[in-house]
Amino acid sequence: MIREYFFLILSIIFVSLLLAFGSSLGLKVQNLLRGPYVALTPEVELKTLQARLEGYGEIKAVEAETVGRTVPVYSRYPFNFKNELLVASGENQGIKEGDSALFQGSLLGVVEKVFANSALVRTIFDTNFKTPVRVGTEGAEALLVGGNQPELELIPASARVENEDHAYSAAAGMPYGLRIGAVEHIRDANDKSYKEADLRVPYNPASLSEVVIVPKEQ
Amino acid sequence: MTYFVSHPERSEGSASRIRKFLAALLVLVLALAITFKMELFFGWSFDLIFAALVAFAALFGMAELIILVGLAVWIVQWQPVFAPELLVLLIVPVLVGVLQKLLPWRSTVTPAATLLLGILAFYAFARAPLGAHAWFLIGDILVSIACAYFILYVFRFTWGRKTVRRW
Repeated sequence: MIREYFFLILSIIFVSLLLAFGSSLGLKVQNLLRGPYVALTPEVELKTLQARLEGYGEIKAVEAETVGRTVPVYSRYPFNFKNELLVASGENQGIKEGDSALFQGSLLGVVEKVFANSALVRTIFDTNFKTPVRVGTEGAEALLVGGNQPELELIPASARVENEDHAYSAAAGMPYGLRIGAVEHIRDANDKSYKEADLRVPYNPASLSEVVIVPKEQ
Repeated sequence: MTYFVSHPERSEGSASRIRKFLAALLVLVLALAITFKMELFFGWSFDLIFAALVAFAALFGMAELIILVGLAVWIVQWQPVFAPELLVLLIVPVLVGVLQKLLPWRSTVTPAATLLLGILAFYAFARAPLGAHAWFLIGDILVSIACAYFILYVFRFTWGRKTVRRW
């Protein structure tokens, strides 16, 4: 009986030590079990290159990349509904809350929390992610709502928006005109006063191995 | 009604207990790997880790359970601060283990009820918009319950009813 209690106490001490001191090793195990990030398929790579050659948003994105800081992705939220990444730079490297995260020149998310040497990025694939954007050549206003399939909502019914139009950033604090993705599957919203559409990102979300952090604009 | 745990007075050999624990470790690693890979490729996954831990609560004593739960939480922890939803993952299986030790009855539906409430609590703590994804959540809960009972079935098939929980 005493031996069994001893085993129980030992197991509690062992687990407490694991949780308290071994977080980076835990992440290594997590990355080992997840396997390597998926490489881009040639089709996606071609689309990304084509997108880079188009329009103002792309020029802004390339500009933003040049002033940003490239940081590797440590880990990602392993359950549903949230889509967060932990990146390997934090307060000590000048990262601040509200900074934008870019992947291959497109807006991927916003820095949500900053730690000493790492930061948490909430991506556009998170169900709680919302940001105002502009769509198409006329710059129609819309609301980007995150999720496994990000959507553009509250597009005015009168706005001239077509499939393959670009959506780009228009939120305060975020560099204006960052490419986010292309519009597809435009449809009427339930109340017919607005339209909504799906957002197609020009990259494979499974291939996120490093991102560019761009400082928040004052 | 079928019980997944045997009478506590029937003892289990230490070699068998170690083999069972190692098998549980392998099941946990498999559940972790499948979850991470599904999340990577599809952006979603079933809650197989939670399902495995709830099944282990019906199979193991408190010491083994604490190690398995702690190991799972240690690996899925993805940021420097402890996320509130991971407390659910940590506490629920241990609480079930404690209650099964203290309460006189054992029910076949305990794992299913635990997973139903546990998964809802987990995503409520994660501040997920549950209503907007009700169908996905129902599917997730059903698959997780099926996974938990499959694990219980495999362990009972392999080790019979000598699945005594010890402190």
